[in-house]
Amino acid sequence: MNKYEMTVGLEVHVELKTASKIFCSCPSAFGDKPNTNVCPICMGLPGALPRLNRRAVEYAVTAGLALNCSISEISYMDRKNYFYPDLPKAYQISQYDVPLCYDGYLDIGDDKRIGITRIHIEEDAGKLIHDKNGDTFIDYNRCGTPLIEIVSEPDIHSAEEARTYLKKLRSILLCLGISDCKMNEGSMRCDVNISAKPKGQIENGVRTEIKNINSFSFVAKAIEAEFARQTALLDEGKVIYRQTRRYNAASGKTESLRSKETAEDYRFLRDPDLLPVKVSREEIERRRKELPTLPHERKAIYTQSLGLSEYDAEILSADVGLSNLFDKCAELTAHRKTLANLLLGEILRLSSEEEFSCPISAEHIAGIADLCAEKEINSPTAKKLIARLWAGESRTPAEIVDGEGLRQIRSRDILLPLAKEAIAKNAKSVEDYKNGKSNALRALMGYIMSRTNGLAEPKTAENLILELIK
Amino acid sequence: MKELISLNLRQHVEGLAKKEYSAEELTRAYLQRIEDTASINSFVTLNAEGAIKSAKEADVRRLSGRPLSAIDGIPYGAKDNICTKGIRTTCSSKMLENYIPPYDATVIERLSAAGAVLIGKTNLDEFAMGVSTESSMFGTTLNPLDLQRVAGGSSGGSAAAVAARQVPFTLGTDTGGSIRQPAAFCGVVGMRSTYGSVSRYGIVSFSPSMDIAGAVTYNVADNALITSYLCGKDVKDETSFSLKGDICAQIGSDIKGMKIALISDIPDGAVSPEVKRAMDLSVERLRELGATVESISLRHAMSAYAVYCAISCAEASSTLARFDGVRYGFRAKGYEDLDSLYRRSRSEGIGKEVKRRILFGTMVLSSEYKSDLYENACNMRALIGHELCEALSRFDAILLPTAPTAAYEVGYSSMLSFEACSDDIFCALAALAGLPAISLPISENGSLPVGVQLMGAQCSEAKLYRIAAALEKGGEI
Amino acid sequence: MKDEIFDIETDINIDRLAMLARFTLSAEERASLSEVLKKMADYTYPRILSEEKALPFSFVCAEELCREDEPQRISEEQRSIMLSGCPSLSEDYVTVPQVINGEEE
Repeated sequence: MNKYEMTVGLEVHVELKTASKIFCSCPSAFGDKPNTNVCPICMGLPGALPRLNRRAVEYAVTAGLALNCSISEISYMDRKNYFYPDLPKAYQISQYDVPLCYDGYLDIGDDKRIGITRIHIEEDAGKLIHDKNGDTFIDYNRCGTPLIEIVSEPDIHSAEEARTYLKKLRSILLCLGISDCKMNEGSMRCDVNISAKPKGQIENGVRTEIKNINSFSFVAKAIEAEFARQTALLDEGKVIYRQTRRYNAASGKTESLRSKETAEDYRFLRDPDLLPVKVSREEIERRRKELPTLPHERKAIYTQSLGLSEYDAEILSADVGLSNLFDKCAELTAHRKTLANLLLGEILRLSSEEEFSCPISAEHIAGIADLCAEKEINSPTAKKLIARLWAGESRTPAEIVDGEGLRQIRSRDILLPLAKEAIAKNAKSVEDYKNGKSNALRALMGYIMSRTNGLAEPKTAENLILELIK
Repeated sequence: MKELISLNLRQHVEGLAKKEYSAEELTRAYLQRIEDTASINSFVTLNAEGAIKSAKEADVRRLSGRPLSAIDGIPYGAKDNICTKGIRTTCSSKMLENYIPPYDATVIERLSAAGAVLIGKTNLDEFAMGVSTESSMFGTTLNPLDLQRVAGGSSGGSAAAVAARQVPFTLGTDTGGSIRQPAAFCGVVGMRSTYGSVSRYGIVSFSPSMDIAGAVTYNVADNALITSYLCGKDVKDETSFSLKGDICAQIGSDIKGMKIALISDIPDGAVSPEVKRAMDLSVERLRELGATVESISLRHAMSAYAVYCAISCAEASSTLARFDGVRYGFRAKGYEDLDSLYRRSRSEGIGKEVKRRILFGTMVLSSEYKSDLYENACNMRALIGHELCEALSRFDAILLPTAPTAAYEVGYSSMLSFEACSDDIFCALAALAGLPAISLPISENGSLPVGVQLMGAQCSEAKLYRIAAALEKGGEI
Repeated sequence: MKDEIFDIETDINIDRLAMLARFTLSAEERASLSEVLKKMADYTYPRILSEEKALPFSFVCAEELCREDEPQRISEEQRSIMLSGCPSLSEDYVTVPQVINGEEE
């Protein structure tokens, strides 16, 4: 039992999916040739002035509302001054003392709420590429991509909670359609503030910040590693310094990023180039009304109105693409449970892990669900249909089933002779069954299945066998 | 061609319209004049070929009866902190000695759209920080009225060029007096209009909450004409807006019954005897013209320069941080790592005066001093703003000196302590509150001219030009 | 609020300010700049103090006009002028000496 407890707050940077950058008209795109999406403004040329992209504000307000924040009707853009080669103006335009959104929260469990201190808008920096010869190459394409920074309260007390918080946050932002949230492409990044203290102590320990972690699992690992480092220092009676660190995935440890001597003083000031950011009451209320149904609300609908299990509802609601597809299909079929099984089974398996996508139309998926639920087809056939349609088959599920004779055989007239045959040819299994080995039924069923190419409806076949050997 | 260069802007408007001479002739005459009077060191880069080409194009338009505007074909100079596409823009700093902007500042675009001909770029104090053009890497601009004296600053090149009749008008920039003070020193007219009325896009920023471009001309009417071309909302500058109405419309109307205020809080010793005399003369003339002149107290007025120092340096420390030797401009040789690249490029590329202001601004914003220096300064700025606006709701304008003295000798200001060289003590007021203010010369038989300024409420440009024009005329009587 | 002219003599850390602004100062510059900064602060501080808390004052007349989210690239000509001014360009990347971060404790 650890005698220390951890206190964690997360700062999550999320790139907004606007078409142009936050302060200039350059395309805000990922993966273009170096320094092609740049202009005098995002390159910080003398005399160039920023102009705020209205959509970035709208997206940030939407995020704030979805995370239960209050929205500032007037907030301000400030300059955060520091030198770094990825920062052309040597200051980042951000929001300091009056952020756009504040005082929100995110529930990550039935009784666990994480406070959201603030959400502000800011510009992203460029990208540095280090080569082996001691040079750094700078690509400013990303410079000026709009970001929101979501700052949580230090309400997180385990790596698992941090991971859950991030997953929930991501699923909400994806649901809002304001970001790709791709950690591997850097459109979602996380800074961890962490401190350790002896259990029961009220005052928090000295905190360190671990910068720029780019995967959920690294966040969890970094938290564990840093907590271990801090508690080891505490055990030895050593001092923990307030500093910025980074997580080294190769060593699995955190390491110091800057020495104290060069500690920055950001010298914030209002950016005189930009007007205050105004969002009217009416606009806030309009955007509140326009919010899509959020994951936790969807989950409640799935369990309460559609009768899905807690588990199925959780997975379905967490991914907006999956959830949208389910909703569409659910309008076309009454068999929601079967539908959920299809989506969470074969279809989820075929979709890429990174982002849910499915080329099969809702109509066809609903059609398969109907066929399944009405016992017209069995589950291997359902899988086969999904595979065919995924690969681009153009016929409807019913057409495929009829065209290829894939319907289940439910007729007692057809199955009765087969059942009799099975019993006659498997006397040993009949004996075993009667002696209490229920497994023995499998051999009898297997016989019928092999005689029907797997198309016998299992329940009907089983009932027939049981009736005959009783 | 001596006659041509002795004419003022409005006379050229007429001369060109009547086709008495061509834009090319005019441009060549001024280029010749610039060559003949090169010793005043007002221009840092000439655009002779480009100017002649533009002038020829203007002549073609005139001949076909389709001039772009009244000033189509009229040459001008622009301060070298105003970006000009393809023409180096140095800010008179080693840091930008070879810097070529990829775009034109909006003011340049607007003048190009009107057909005006850019003849060259004028000298300034490095990054527009200074009051004498002595901090320019290209050397000091001399005062055409007395070559022993400075032309003022930071738009010293722009003021001297007009005074020396090298061009009929120039563009300058004013942060805390940089158009008005050199205009005063050189005996010409300089205007800073309401903050935001002229786009800042393409002006190399010094203190963005105060920077503005404006015109330097021989006289008030010429100034209003050019300002009317410069003004207008620019989508590239969020802080810009469009002034309503014709700012030239009231010029020539009388000023009977107008109420002019004097600031009683300016101590007697704050200005030289010749400035005091010029102020007295102005008051006399305004009264003769039927205006009432009254002293009022502005309690915070004499804090303006201190506030200006704190805020302009703070903003400059941030705004000029981009000059780091990485993407453009000067990069020092022999750096070993990133930190030495930064430090060497900035230490070698940026001059003493600018360094001083950046360091002071860094101090003002640093966590140790921010609440004492920056926050108090912002509070005082707001107090001054309210006080001025209140006064200008009761008065048509405030009359005050432009600078504490007339132009002084070259080298004089460097011997002074920091406080004594506060040439901007009066000019800072309008800058802090974003108000329009115009400096015009008041001269008395043969002595060096002295500038006085009229400061008005926000967007009162038309009225200010009217009062200034009346005062100027009064001077001719 | 401090009511006397504040004593900056002991407080000014010229080296720290130079570090923040990325300047290297000669010994002479260090001395003269320390002195002039002190003079500037001594001049400024007492003059900007006021018991009065000002109401917000805006010197900006600008009407609000936000930019719409429409991407537009600059011309290739502009881009090439822009990049050609770079002191060290390598295959369209701007280069600097290696950024050092992450020294192990």
